[in-house]
Amino acid sequence: MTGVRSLSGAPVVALAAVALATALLSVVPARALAAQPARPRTDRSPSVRAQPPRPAPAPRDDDPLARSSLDGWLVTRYRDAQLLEDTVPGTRAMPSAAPFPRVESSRAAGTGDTLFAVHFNAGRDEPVLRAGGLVRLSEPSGAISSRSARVLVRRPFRAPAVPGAALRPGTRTDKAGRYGWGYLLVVSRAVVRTSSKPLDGAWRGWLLVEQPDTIPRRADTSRSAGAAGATGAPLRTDSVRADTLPP
Amino acid sequence: MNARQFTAAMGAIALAGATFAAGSWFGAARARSSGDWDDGRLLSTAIESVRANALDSLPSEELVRRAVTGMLRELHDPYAAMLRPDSYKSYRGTLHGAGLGLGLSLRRQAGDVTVARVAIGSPAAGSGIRNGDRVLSVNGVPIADGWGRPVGDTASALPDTARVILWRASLNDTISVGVRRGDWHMPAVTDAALLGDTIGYVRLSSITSRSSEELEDAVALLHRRGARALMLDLRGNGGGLFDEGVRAAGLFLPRGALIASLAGRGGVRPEEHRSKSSRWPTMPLTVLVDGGTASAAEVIAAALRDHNRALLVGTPTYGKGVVQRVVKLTPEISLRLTTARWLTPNGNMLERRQGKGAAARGGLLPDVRLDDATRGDPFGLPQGISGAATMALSHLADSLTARALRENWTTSPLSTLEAHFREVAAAEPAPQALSRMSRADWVNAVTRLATVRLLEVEQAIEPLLRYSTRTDAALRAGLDVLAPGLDVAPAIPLALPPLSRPEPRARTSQP
Repeated sequence: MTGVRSLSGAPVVALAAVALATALLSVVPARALAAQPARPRTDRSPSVRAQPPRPAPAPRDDDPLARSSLDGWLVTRYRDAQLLEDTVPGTRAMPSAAPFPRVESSRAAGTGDTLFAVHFNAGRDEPVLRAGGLVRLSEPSGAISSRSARVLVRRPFRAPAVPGAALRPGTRTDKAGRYGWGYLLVVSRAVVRTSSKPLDGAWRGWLLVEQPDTIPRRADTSRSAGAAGATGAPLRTDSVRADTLPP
Repeated sequence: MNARQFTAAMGAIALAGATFAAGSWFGAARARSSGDWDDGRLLSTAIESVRANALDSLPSEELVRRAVTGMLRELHDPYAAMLRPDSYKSYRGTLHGAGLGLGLSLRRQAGDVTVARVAIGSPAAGSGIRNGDRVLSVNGVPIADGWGRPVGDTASALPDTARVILWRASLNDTISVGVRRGDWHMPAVTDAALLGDTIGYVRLSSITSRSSEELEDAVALLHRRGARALMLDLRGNGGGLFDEGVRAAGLFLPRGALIASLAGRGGVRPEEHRSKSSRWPTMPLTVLVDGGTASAAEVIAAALRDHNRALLVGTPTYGKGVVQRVVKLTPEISLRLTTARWLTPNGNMLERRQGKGAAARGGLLPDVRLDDATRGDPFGLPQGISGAATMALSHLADSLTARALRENWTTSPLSTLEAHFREVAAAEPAPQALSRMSRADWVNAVTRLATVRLLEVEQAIEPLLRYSTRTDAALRAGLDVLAPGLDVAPAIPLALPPLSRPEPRARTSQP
């Protein structure tokens, strides 16, 4: 009986709380994430602490309002979507076979237009835009314009791929869900004024392309996170697709 | 009292009871009949009295018509109506997909008459007329010589048989076509194509008497060509025949699955409608909907969603959860009345309420909710620019298309064709009419217009549809469900090439 009592006592409750907290780290509800900005993973073991600090840049996640806005937009757009924690350091973008992120919604705001963009791809750890980075806005036809926007926040998420799907937290191979990345960007008012575009919905369908001056050489493009982190730069390049151009 | 007397007494009592019951029923029925007769006589007397005494009276027939119309209005049934022969024929024709006229809409623009729309399957489409053609003459009478007929639907604008001379700008030539008015069937399936190697797309525009058959044929063809997932586009589909909607939904559900229930008046148990002919009960499916998706189209969308067969993509649907019947009163007059509500398989009622705000909301809420699910028009000209700029853009696009045809540019891959158009367009200085647009804006508009016009001339329906994903958020979102990350019309992000010649304004500014 003593054993039984100990199993139902405080130590087990504490164990369950730890397990629950661990599970919550992998899938965090929207509200919780809105109030608590994501942080990069840090290993707190003493051996790692003893090492000199890494130069890994901190993610730009200092805009809870923007994060809340992006999270709200994602869960409104995709019913039953799960918001995931951004485990990729914020200034890193990964190479991906996914299409360019596309603006799906835009709102007029006091200081500029707010753009919401998404892209879907095979993995949850493959953002194609850096948080805090500048991107060029490209017409739906691909013509790069002179207008640029800044990525304020980004968010990985999982949306149902089949109806009635119960997305299981922590399962990465579940075919019931599809992984995507959402981005919130701003276009400054000065840029908007110089264009003849109306404000609401004008950017819908536009593509987001990394600024050419931040694009590394082709030799730097690699699918490994380490390589991306070493350059600290996005790995999407125009030249990757330029080989399909007519002579 | 012996047994015999007892039996006789009981028989007498039973007979008396039966007589009393029969008498009561007969009396009540007679009273009812008398009441109905009295009501009818009251209505008749009222009409006669108005006709005979009112200062500004109307003929009896008109008074009766208005009385019926007023009665229907007081039902607060937005779908109830009195149908005269013309409107009855039109209503019936709509439900059966009967086409009217030549299937041709004309638009007058700056003295020109151009073809605004050609209906699929119409005599106009059969004779080779296309959107954007400019009409030069009809039966030898030039448009410029005061052919002042009204434009719009050609039911009255063109004669029954016409020889039309058209200018097709993309060909840089005139063509002559003969067109004859006749009966034609307006197809319910207006688009069917493979968007990707395994992704089929079918647009069901209406639910008419052959819709399920047409849908089945279209999906079967796509399946034979390799489609293993389907995007069913119900945007703008205002519905039609309830039974056809049930049949269409049944194609994608297991046999016997409940599709909808009809609940009539008086608390009678709802009548269940189930799938009878199942064809693709497991094929991955996405349904595109918008505010124009109504009635039988909502029956399909709701059934596929309630059975977890399809995610809905778009904007909330209209919310028409009732069905109507047409009751023929006389050979000339019929009544259309709402006679039942329909319920989704989960027992939900979709009818939108009267009034405003959240309480008025009905219909289906999509799983992927878009800001705007409007079908993008790749042929559309930029909004908010002058007429001269519009003409200049259109002429530039036409000349580019003509050049591409002359030089046999390939249309595949699309991105290559588009880049080629953009390169050629950007090499030229802007015409004066476009001086108020930025170079990027007009080059992009010309590139898009030239691309779609060339695809149209080449009758490249599937590439044209894939190209539409650029301007159609719902198509893109639907593809993201079935094949996440697939871009069926990838663009090549490139900056505009430099001008090969300096701008005229730059030349004039030099000393």
